[in-house]
Amino acid sequence: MKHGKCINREISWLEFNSRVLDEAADKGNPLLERLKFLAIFSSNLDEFFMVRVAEVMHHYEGGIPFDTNPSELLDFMRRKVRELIERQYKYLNDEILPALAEKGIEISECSKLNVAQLGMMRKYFISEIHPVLTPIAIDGSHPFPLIKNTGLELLVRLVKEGEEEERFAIIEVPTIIQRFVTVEKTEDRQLYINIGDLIRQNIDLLLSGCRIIEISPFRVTRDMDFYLDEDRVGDILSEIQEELQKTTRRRIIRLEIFSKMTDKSRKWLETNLQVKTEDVYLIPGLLDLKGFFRVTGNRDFPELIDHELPPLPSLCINEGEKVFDAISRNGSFILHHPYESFSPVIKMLEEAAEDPDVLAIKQTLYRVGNNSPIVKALIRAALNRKQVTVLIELKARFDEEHNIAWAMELAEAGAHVIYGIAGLKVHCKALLIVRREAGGINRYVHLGTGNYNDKTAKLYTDIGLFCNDKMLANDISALFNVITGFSKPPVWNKIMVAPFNLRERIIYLINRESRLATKENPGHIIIKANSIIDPEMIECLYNAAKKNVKIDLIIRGVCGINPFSNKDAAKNINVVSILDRFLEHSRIYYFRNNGAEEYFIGSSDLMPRNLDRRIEILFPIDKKEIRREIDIIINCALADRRKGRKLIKPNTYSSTVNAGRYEKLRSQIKLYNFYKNRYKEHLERIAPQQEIKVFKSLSR
Amino acid sequence: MQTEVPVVMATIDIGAHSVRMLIAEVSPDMSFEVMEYLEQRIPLGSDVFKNGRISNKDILLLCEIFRNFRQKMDEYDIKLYKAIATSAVREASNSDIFIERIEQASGIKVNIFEGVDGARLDYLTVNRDIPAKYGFNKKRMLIADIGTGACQVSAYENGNICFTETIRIGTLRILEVMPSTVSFAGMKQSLTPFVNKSFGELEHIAYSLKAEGLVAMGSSVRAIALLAKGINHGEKALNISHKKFNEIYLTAAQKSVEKIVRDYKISHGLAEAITPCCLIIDYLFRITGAEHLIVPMTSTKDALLLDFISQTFGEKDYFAPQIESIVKRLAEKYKCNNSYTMRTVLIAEMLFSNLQELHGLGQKELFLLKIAAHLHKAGLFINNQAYHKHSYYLINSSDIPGINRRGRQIVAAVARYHRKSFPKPAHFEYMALSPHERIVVNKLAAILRVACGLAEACSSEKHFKLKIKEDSVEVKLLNSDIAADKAYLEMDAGFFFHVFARRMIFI
Repeated sequence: MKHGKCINREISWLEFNSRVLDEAADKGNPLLERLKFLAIFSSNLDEFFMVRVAEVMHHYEGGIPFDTNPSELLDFMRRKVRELIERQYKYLNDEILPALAEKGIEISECSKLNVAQLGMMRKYFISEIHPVLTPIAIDGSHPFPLIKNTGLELLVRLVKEGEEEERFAIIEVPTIIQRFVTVEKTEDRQLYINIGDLIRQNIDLLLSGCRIIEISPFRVTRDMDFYLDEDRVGDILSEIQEELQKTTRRRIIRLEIFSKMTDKSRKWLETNLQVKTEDVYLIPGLLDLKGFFRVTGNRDFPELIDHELPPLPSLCINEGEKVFDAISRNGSFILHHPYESFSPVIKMLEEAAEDPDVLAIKQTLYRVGNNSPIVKALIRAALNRKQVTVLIELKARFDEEHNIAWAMELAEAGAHVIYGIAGLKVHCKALLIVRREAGGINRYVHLGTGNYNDKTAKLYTDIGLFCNDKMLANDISALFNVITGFSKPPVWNKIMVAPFNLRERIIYLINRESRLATKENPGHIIIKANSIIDPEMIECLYNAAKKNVKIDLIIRGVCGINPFSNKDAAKNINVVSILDRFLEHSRIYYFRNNGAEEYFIGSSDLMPRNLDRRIEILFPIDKKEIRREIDIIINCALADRRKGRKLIKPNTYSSTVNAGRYEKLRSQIKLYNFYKNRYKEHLERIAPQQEIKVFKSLSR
Repeated sequence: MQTEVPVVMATIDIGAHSVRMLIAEVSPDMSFEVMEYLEQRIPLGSDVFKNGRISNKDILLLCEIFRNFRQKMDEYDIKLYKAIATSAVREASNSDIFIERIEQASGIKVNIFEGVDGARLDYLTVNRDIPAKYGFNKKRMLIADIGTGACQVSAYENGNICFTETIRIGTLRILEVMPSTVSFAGMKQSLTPFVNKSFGELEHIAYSLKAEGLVAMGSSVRAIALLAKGINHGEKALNISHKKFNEIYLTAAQKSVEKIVRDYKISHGLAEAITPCCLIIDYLFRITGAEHLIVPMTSTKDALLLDFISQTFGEKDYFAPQIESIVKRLAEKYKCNNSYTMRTVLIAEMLFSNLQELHGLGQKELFLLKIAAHLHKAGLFINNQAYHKHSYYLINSSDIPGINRRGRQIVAAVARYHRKSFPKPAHFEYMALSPHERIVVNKLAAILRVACGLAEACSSEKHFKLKIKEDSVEVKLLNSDIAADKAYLEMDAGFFFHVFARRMIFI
């Protein structure tokens, strides 16, 4: 496809997922990590179909204007996805599975098992699998069943005893069943078989008295891009619950079938599921590679996984010290996860919950995950009669059900639970604690670039700021007042808040850089974000680049900027995308400002949704020491040639598959070592003989 | 009240356009730091100025807002708060029901803020914000607080208040009376007579409205000042020449509200208020003959907080000298500002202090007693027949800034009972008081009666000494000339015995 000034979001995303696939191809990565990237690729693709492809289809069918011709775009996406799937299975079937088998982890088939193993598996099937399976025959009196979104299904073509007519039956593989069953496990060998294969092997137990002609897996992906007209919705919680119940009835936008499924079966499925042929994807192997997450979690073969990088304790919090005291002592400090432990955030909330001087706690929650210690601390605080206000974003895609459950539990404990603002998703990550102290009221603030999720904090690179800065506390108090509907937006002291002033302020900062820059004294903008796709921002950056402003963009995912569309801009724009063992997630904005540098971090990417349809914040970093730390983070990222891909052509990045020789420039490892050495030096300073302590419980 | 540790306080004000809450931490030295400011738009004024009452929808909405405010107060464990409602609620026929429903919903007690209470805040703002070079303490100044429903106009001479009046004209009220056929651009021509008429009464009340300086305040005035100055570099007050004001007025009057919003980047509500506000300022320029307009940049919400802090922690009421000044002006007006009155005031104050253990009242009540002592003979201005009854209604009908309606009623009743009949439940003046207020009136009137007698008998408050005994109060008269008046004095002390059950013995 021809690219203009801005690269289409979907096309750029596909290129991003292609880079994910490169990680599976990178022989420098341990084998199980490569397998994990294949699973991540599949997981990403599922979400892409459910939301992005669905939206493009809406535009196509509704004739709604779009930045790219929706019909051409759909064709391109389908073609590109097929190419990527082909690559994915090539890596899986030709490289990773055979190599794993050599190392002792074998994904086998029932046909290759010996009699004893088959017998053992049959017993396992009878006791564990058979009771939860329900084959559904389809005929005149049994209508076509509801097929779950992204579930694994088996299509069975059969002939009943004494009949001649062929029939179809569908067996749903419940999600509670692991996709891979362990057949054998010794110290140096582990043998798994795929659940579909196990069911096929024992189909006689499910469909006795039938002659089986064909058993073939398939999987459907439904349109999950639902929209709530929040101005008309009275109770957003029940509306979302209702929408979630409809998921099995939503339109199918992708049908994945095993490539060896017969034409007859395929056509039958297409007709009954009402899927167009162009939306059918032939999969040359196992379906739904997300199932491999079970295998990649295997810790029995340390040489096949990344070596551990356990999160380090914070330099700023002394052993046994309360986080409040640490903040008062330090003024402000940051934690860079997952290099540094997320525990202090949990600890601060746990301390607050029990502290008799704490009056109120306010927090935004977007994706909290299962069994969250954060939510537990909030519940305890509410039970301890603190004024707890929690903003739970019910519209956090694919986390709706979790969030509804937490919301109800918190409300029951006595917390004020708010479900956000109509029409705006609350995406900012903010925590405010009001504490009565000897010198008066003190307000402690934690602001982050990532969610309050203890699990993702071990995998995503995020920065969290702890402080008790009064101006910032005023802003965050006001932010909560806006979110909770207590007040209209004020004039902000320090922070930028979308959708109120963030867009305007960033444009101002970019334009200021253009205004101040000269050939002799060039400007400099560095943006580290997940995505940049907003046309107005891109245009501003082009203009700045043309006026002697050097622009470094560290963009992990979707990047709509196409510097090659303009020669003058191209020479000043450098785009890097880092994909490595941790998911790059922190957002950093740097403006040289003629020497009076300004640093901001926060939750916002540069996408129209972040700038116009979400509550996002960027907050300034004023402390010199923190700025130097951010410089190190940025410089490591920009110098990364091991996992940092450079944009070299429109929507095309350099490959790092064979960049093993640049291991020393691998930013994530460099950063971990930086934090480790810094902590070691700190320990040496305070107690020379003490050893480095790590949070074992938080290691991956 | 004294504080050794910082205290968190809140003020809430319900205006015609919006309801606002300010939360601040106040240090022992009375300096403060604002922690939160909340504002919710709610157009109460347009309902009240048009229909005379607050709609049910607005009451429900305000109950919700106040519940939220209560939650905010709980977050900081706030015990000290002041909630007021200005012109919109004041004028609503259902204001009592409204206040009760707010209290039911949130537990927050809202007080009606009289126009004259605003004069107190205006004085505070002017004193705080206006630099000495503008000569507030040396010149005659007119201060106008231009609100949405009312305008509080006060005149000061050498820093002392001469009069203060509430004029029922405001930016929103002007818009409400504006005929729908009149365009925004035609407002000046159409509404100037309305403005002139509204201020007409003021010209009757004040002997002169000429002033060397003109101070105006209010959100719309501040917006005009910022339009004139472009940007405020942290100045506490802005000075705008008459010429510059005329330019702004001319430009704004020719623009539509939408254009004002776009061009000046201000809210829609404020944009609507610009031209009506200009109309009022234009009138004030004309009547005062001032050449400059001084605009303090402190908002009402800040002034309200400062006032609340001062009232809570201040040793003395900063506005007390101004109240005394206006009371003296009233006494002059009713021709009762003479040496006898001054003596009565001093003796009443002395008696109050010496009898503290008997009456158990505080400084607030002393202040009311002093005002009553100043004005108790005002009724003579009307007629000497039952003049104490004339004093009652004259006091009750006078605006005394810093004294609310209830306080004024107590002062009037004390003056009413300084002679003749004791208070009786059948007296309508007495009926109007709450049980607590009745006790205060009885005690103060008893003291005032004695003070009046002593002021008649003695030429100085130093001519007697007081001693409290188990069943009596002994007053030793130091000047032998007054011995003959003892009988009269004992008659005046009859009410004292009735109230305190102690005979007053003059020796």
